[in-house]
Amino acid sequence: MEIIERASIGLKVENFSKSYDSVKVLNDISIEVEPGEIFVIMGPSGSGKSVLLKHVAGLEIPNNGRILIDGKDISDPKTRTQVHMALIFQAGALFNSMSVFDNLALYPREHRLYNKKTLRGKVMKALETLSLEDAAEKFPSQLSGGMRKRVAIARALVMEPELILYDEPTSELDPTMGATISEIIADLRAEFGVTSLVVSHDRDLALTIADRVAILMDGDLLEVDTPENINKTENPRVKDFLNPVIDIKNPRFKKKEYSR
Amino acid sequence: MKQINNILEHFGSTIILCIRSFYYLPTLPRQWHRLIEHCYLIGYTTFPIVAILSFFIGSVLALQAGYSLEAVAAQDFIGALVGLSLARELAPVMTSILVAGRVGSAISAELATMKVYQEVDALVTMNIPPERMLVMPRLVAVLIMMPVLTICANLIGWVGGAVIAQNVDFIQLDTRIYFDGIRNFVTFRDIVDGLIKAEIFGFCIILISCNVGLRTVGGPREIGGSVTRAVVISLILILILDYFVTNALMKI
Amino acid sequence: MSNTLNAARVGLFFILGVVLIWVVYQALGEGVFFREDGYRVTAQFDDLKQLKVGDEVRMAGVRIGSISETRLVRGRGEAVMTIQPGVDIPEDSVATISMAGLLGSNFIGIRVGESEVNLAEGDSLTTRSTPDFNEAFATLGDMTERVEGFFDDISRAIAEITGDEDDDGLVRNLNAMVTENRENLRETLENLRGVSDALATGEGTLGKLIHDDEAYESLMNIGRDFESTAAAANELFADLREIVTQVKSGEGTIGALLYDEDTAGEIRRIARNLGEVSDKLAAGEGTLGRLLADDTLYHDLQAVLQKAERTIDGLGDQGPITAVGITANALF
Repeated sequence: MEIIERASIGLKVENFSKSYDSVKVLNDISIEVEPGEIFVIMGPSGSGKSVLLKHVAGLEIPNNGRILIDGKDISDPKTRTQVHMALIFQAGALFNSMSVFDNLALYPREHRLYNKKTLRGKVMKALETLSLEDAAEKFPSQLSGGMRKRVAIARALVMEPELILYDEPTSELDPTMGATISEIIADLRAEFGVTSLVVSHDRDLALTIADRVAILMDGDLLEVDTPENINKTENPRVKDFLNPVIDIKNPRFKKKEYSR
Repeated sequence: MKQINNILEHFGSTIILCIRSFYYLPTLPRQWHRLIEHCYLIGYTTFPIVAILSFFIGSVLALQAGYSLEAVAAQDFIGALVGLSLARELAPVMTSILVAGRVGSAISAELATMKVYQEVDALVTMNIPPERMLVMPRLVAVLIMMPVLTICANLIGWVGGAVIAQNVDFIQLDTRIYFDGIRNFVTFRDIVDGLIKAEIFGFCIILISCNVGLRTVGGPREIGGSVTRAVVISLILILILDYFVTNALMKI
Repeated sequence: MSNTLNAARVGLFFILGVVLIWVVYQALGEGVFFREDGYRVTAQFDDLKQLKVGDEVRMAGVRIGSISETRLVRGRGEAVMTIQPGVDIPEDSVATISMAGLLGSNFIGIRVGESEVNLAEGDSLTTRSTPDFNEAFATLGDMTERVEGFFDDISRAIAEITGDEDDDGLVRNLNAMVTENRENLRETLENLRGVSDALATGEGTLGKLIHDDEAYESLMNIGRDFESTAAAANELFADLREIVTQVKSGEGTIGALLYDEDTAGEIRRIARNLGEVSDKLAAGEGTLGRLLADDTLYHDLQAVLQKAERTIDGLGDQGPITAVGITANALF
């Protein structure tokens, strides 16, 4: 398998802050992801995980601080051509007007990477990796949610990235499919040594495949540690987030401190 | 104040989009298939409605001209009147309005959908500039197709006028005289002026539709809003530009 | 969606557009594609008016060719016409510049001649300039003067005649002359009456020319009529002068003339008629003066003239001249 030939790269977020209008979303975040690591950012909905990911992908510009990929600032347009990075969107963000094959082939075609035959081989290999060979000629609207996510991952694979960013890869999927995706993420790392930054609130994914886990709540970074240590944390908010107890007598939504 | 700011922002972003798109013009040869596709959508599929509309515009012009000129026994000028109004004004403007309604709306809807469903973001992360892939081929396609649509509109409109002028009871103008009127009063310069106008309008329509589409923020609901905005801005701009472009062309 | 098929459609559509633009370019007279083949004849005019390349050449109202070139030859405008092959133009045919519509383009109208020999390539057509309203009215003015002069003579003669009742010699002589020439005189008087009636109604014809449908005849013809009328009148005046001179010189017997009630009555009536005509023409002179002085009216009348002339040539539409008058007023 020679899809990935490049060495994986590291990622560094330095004193990163972001606010929309006057609402602070992320507050002074610093993270360092080692090359070849699976780094999972966990947090409840609305904690700013996806915003962080968008900034790492360079889709938005931070108010404060900077994001370095392989030591290069992502806000510099040149970085994008030097670093091979793929973002897997929560909803897949497949091009609806193109077939699965064309979706995968778009990147190499636009960048004129291979000749026709090589391109076809590469795309089919990526589809095989995720057992999607039969879906090649289908359109995104004909696919199930799980397949769409897998196509999105396959599309990222064709780009031969050194860094893959996953935005909620297991959300909206049934538990089996969620587990499958988790396995794929781990497998890709094992096979190609790609650095993975995963944003998720899937506890199983985080605790099984992650090398390190960061907990993000209300724009603040609460903990960064290995899954084992995170699981043993004494922080009540983290504890409640990771092991929520459904208490009908004393419902959470009636407690003041958790209402947002 | 906020409104003015908004308008200026729209204006500025449109110009930036235009410049960025043309920066990627050299990539056109390898986007050949996209150019063909957009030419097909902008030109070929719009042609039937342009044909129908211009035929009836020509007809109604001839009818009105015949009705009014009959009073002074100057029916011979129907050809000149229909020919000039179509060539200089109605063919380019009506074609542009149809392109705005049919193509502009479709483009803004498509781009807004792509934006809302993060396809545009996906392109950016793939290091494919949306201007290059989504905007530039459309701009080139409209520049290629507008003159073709407009000249068709001209000719079909003339024929429509001729049919009416000949067959309506109180006009009954011989087709020969009708076309002589056109030949005597319409110059090729008039036609070219019309084509230039159509080019400018078509270009603006596509640019605005792309810009509005790509600037869509929010959920699916915003897609509809973007389409409306794109069409409204296009229509207003066509009619305002029409005055200034016509004025400028008359002075050249 | 088949990409190749779309590419073909777009390609064809684009080619169609280019072809259409080219066709329009050619058709609007700026290209060479629509240039007709045929033989070329020339015609020289003092004034080509608004004739331009591409205008029609018509014979008896039928389009037979077009103007392919206009140029200046020794101070005269020359139009080069391309005539459709198969159309023969007798060599004594006459070309005139006419107007197709009120504001429409000019064309060359060819009045067919009778010659057996037809024009060939490069030949030149005889031309005639279209009548000028100025000229027509100048002739009319001339005639008016002469008529007035004659009326002066005749009224003086009548005064002499009525004043010299006692002059037996004159009366007798006149009587003798009248008796001798009774038939001639009667004829002459009838002619005179005819002329005077014609003149009397002629005044109305001028009005009709502008206001009445039926009376719109060719101004060409009217002009010619005027001329011939003037000539006829001249002749008559000469005759009458002779008679008057004879009367003055005392030849014939005036008594006989005076006893002849019919003749006397007729003379009075003629005198009255002529007086009226002269009055009307005298008044008309003022109007003419105004017409000639006023540019706008002149243009109106010129348009009317051309319209009328076109009608004579049998080329124009049958639109009522009233409408043309209104249009002319409205449009100029």
